[in-house]
Amino acid sequence: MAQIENPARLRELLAEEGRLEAMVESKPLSFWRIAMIRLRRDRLTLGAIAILLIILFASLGAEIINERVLGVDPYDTNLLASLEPPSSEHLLGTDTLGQDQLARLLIGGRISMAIGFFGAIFTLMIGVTLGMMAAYFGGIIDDVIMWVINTLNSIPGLFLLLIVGALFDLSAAWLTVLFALLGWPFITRLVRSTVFSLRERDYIMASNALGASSFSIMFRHILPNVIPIVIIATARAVGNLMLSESILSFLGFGVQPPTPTWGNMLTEAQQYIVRPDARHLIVAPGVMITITVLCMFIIGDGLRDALDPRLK
Amino acid sequence: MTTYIFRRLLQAVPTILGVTLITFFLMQAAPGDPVQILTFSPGMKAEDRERLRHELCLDRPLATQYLIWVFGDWTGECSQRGLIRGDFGNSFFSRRPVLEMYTERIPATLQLTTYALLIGGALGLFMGIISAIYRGTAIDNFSRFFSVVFDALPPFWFGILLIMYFSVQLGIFPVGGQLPLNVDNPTIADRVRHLVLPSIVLGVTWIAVMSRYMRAETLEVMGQDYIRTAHAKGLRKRTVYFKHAARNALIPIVTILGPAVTALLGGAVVVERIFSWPGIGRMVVDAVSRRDFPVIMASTIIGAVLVIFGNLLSDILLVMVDPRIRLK
Repeated sequence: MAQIENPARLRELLAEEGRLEAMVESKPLSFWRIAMIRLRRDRLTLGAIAILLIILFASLGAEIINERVLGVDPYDTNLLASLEPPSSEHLLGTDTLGQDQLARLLIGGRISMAIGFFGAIFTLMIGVTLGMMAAYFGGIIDDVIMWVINTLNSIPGLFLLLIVGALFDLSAAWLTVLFALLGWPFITRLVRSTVFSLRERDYIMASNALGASSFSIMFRHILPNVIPIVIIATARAVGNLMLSESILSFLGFGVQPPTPTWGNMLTEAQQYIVRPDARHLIVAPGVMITITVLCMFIIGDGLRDALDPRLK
Repeated sequence: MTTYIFRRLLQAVPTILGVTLITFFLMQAAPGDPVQILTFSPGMKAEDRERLRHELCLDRPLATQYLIWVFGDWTGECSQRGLIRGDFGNSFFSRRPVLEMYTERIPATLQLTTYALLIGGALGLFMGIISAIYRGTAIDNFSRFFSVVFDALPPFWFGILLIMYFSVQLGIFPVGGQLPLNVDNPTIADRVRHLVLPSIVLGVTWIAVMSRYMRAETLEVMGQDYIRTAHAKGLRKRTVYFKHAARNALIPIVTILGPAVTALLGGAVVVERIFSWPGIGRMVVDAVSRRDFPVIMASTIIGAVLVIFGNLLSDILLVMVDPRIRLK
């Protein structure tokens, strides 16, 4: 279990939590409890989580917000009201087809974020499974997995993404799967090397000596210690996937219009680069991508500090 | 050293093999018949189409097609000489040898990426050192926050914003391209003006990566005894930091250069597209949207070769600058 570096500091933290007595009379705090205490004191990360939650809920409730609060339909075109600047009627203005930009941003955010989150979860599932397999079985299975990793890593990622995305005309759901199929190597490597180093620890030797099967050592003693590292990697992966999605959509090979995503909204906006009256179309989607990805990265860093202080 | 390089090259063989397998079977699985794309005339007779298919060896079993593509044709019926002899086929559209198209475009991409790496490297390393020296202060926090922000910034959007402001509104830099179209003998100033925005956009991500690495490395080095000795000798702080600490902190940075090739090639796709830069990135995007199969297939293989060489080069450089590391 995790060791807190400085006992005096821990006592200070616990006292603030009003848990010192509780700790004295009951069992010691779990690793996750300590991580929560650390996280709760990290204002930057908390702020990022709050902003992300606001964006997330606004996107999830996009239909309701669009209908009840804004009173517009994101797919409702009106050529007479095309390229309008922000006004009280359209808070962030309208696009070429006269569609309300704010309403489209909300819907688009849902797809961008869904690709980021589900993509990261799939990546995690493939990556952890293969990483554990490589480390557990070793030998030829490890060799084959490492060969695939080396091969995938030597192709510039965007090339492969571009080729598959363009040639197969993917829907948002398949795009998510594609990101996972191309993105798992880094998690596999992380898990594999962590398992290798954990295997040399004394506590593993102890369970070996007690007669635990290698299967139970793997899943009961090693896997729980791999999870924190994987969580940190996943938080960053969500941000990176959202960036990749926006790049792919921007190049015209991601999710296709009329389904809005933050990336393909910018593709449409790019043609108005010389028109000052269409500036709102270029600025808004980019700001949304940046803020969301930034929040994910900050949360990733915060989780790293909370879960694994040695990595700092 | 020679044996080491030789062994590394030998190790690259299975990787390249994997890349050719992935590329070949991806293309096979892709919808769209190459002959259809190649001829693009609905009036073409079925027998002509068959003849063309036979000439291109597309009527063979898959495994044979793969072997012909990699090793060249041994039956003498189609004119492919194979990847191993540098024959990547001809483009469906320009009808020119693919390898020639790549060698023509690589200098432009190389120029862009070199400047990007110089800008990103110089600023990033400087920021990293400063951050480490002023660890825990506002300067450090600012520079770390700045580097996360640039990580999160979508590169294409940043490019568009720069064009919008510096090219369209202020008119300082051109909107895109490598050289002015209406001038016969472009001056150096013309070339530089075209380079500024694209290399900034491509370089900015490297500020973030480099500064983070450099900060960690400098902090590591500053805990060493010889730095304390340097301070104790009464050297000026600046001398200690920039001459003693920074030099040794720079060593591990060499290892980033390998992965940098992958990232720069990927980044070039985006930047070349926004700034209409005539490099390989833009060529790949065009090829993908026109389904120009030979050009697409070459992109992953040439990309992989560049990446493998980048990795090898950075490992060799590391040994050269750090005598503590021995080749195994």
